[in-house]
Amino acid sequence: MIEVYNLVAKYGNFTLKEINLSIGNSECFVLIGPTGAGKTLFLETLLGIKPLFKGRIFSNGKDITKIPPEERSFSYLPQDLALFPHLDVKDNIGFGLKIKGLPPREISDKISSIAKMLKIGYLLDRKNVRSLSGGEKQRVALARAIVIDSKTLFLDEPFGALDTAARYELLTEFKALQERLGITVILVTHDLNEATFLADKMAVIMNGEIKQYGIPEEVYAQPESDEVAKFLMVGKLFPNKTDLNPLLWKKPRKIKMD
Amino acid sequence: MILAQFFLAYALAVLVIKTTFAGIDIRLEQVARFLGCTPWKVFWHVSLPLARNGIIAAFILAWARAVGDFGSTSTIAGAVRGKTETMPISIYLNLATVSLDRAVVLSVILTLMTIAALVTICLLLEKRS
Repeated sequence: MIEVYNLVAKYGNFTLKEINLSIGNSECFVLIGPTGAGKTLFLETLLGIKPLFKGRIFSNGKDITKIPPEERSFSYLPQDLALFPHLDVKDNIGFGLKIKGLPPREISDKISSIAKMLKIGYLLDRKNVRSLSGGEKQRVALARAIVIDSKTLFLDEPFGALDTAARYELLTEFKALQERLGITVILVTHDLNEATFLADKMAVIMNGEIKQYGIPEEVYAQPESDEVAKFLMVGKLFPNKTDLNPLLWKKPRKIKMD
Repeated sequence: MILAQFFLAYALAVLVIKTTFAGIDIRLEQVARFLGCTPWKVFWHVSLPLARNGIIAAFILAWARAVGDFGSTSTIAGAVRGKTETMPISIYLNLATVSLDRAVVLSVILTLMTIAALVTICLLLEKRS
């Protein structure tokens, strides 16, 4: 469980204002907000990449506010995936295992197992990670993050660069994998489809402030302010709010031409 | 003489190496931390391998600059045959004694060495990018 108390972080003139959150084990928490809302700053502060100005962060009851990133037992998948260009696919996936000092045979077994799970077995002999397609890079980066058996995975808009079909496929597989492995996921995105599809709980962030927090159905059905409603494309001011949210449309509307 | 060439070349090497390290994507280093690396291990397993070609290029550049130097070596150590006789100084001394054949041969060798150094640097930096 990740608990955040009164977290304040500053980056230049931008400030994250007093964030309080609790993310349960095996939960998929999605932080959604427009560009420049402070999503990445929040994520990087939780990860320990950026220093916090005030507040406390706990992971499974342990205060991790001041401990270095490598001791937090988190996995991180950044937006640009950050695959190591000097390593081949196999070494990229096994990087964390090698650092942990696992024997080569165990590393090899774990790589094969995760590759099979993510359907990238055919990529293990590829030497140059730059030659992979967007979806393949995504899977390799995901394999590298998951294989180290971390129980909490942080993702920063990881599916943004994919085309719709590849994104849908990967999102479906990712959700199944998360439930199967029981890992806690903290994901930031500006994509409503992605958030709705993945989130067990979601929070809407705007101008460095959490505007609303809850399960997706609640947030969509009862946006707490006009700005949240506008961002979610839900008409708060209208009686039947969900009518204006294209994500909740069951069927495409037909337009009659006279 | 060695000291003079060192001071001439090291600044160039430091500049290239600094630019190489600055060009490494910080995300790679951050991700490595979450894969269990301490800052030292990040340097050893990520930054240094990524900077390898840049470092080699920097040393070749520094070496080429030192080998081709005439001014600072002759000013500090003088131009003495058999003692402070670098290739440019040797060319100068051979020209001064009208040994044109030797001067021309040495000039051609120096030019070829410079071209080889430049080609190697270009290949290394191209491979890095």
